[in-house]
Amino acid sequence: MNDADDPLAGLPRETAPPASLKARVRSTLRQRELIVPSPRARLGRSVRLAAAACVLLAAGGLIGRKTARPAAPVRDAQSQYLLLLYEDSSFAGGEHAERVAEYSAWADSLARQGRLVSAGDLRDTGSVVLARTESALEVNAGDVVSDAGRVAGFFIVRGADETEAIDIAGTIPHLRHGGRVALRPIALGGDQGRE
Amino acid sequence: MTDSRDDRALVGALLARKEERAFEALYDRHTPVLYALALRLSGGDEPEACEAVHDAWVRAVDNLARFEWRASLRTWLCSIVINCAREIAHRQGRDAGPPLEEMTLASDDARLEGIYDRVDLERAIAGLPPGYRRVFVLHDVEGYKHEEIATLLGISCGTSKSQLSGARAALRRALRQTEGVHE
Repeated sequence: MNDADDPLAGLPRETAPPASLKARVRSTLRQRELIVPSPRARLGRSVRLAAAACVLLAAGGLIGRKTARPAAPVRDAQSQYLLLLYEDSSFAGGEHAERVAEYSAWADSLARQGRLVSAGDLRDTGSVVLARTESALEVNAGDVVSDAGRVAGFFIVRGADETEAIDIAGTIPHLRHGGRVALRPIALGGDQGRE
Repeated sequence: MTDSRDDRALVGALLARKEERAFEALYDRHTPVLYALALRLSGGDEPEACEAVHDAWVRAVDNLARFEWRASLRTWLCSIVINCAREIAHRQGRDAGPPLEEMTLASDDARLEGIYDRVDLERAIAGLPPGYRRVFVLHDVEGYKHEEIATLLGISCGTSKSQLSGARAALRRALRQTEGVHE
């Protein structure tokens, strides 16, 4: 029977799948680590990881105040540390897009080790400082100024202890560009870590 | 931008570097065929077809290192889709074949001939019992041999032949009824 007589010959052999199916398959493969996101996708994901660490950021904005370093408490492998990235006039990071790609690659390597909790690249505009007086809430445009410069971004990483967290933080690209990094252990659960 | 690398190069990149772009190129290249197959096997059930294609890709990428290129990559992917579609139908209790009497009474088992409206044809195929539909799609639409179908579906060659015979007869009955509607 030739194709002209075969009614099945005219049936389409291809059908466009729903667009959502590709995203779903890709997501599953990423979760199972069968594929690794492309650099552009990693960049987007790292930016999207900016969480409610603004609260932590407000606490970290008081950096510059000299405090006695508390004795490192005993911590398990799930200890978390906030890394605040500072930039001042000596910072030379080059093109923003290149820098973000560089930091995203570093973040991605941490994520693969299970060490990355969160990350965020902070915008240059839109910063406000809040304070409450007796009569009102004051909201002023600007930033909390420290002698380390302004906060440009943050990472929250996991480490067994402070030594390990310092080792991790020591590899951050920010330091190569003349920036400074403040590392603060995060109090989790009932551990306040304050003296 | 279309990736110009051939299947072997893309599979190589996926195995060596888990390269997401390589996966996306393979997905774009092969999924329209896989989805059409899954859709037909599921009787037009789009969510079920998506499920089969999703499961097939995950299984394929996970087992890519074991693929020995004895057949084309597309042939291999199709076989995985067929298995996944069958497993899904089985989980949903829709794996049963047609009643025995339908199978034994089928005598009009020649290939379908004639001119039929494509929509009517697709609808008639979708309306076949799952067992009939699976064998019919694989044999008459996709061109698999009975021995291959038997292996893919875990049935005997004899069962494959009798189900095909029953499928063709059922299809003719359904299309005759449709012709009556159009007249």
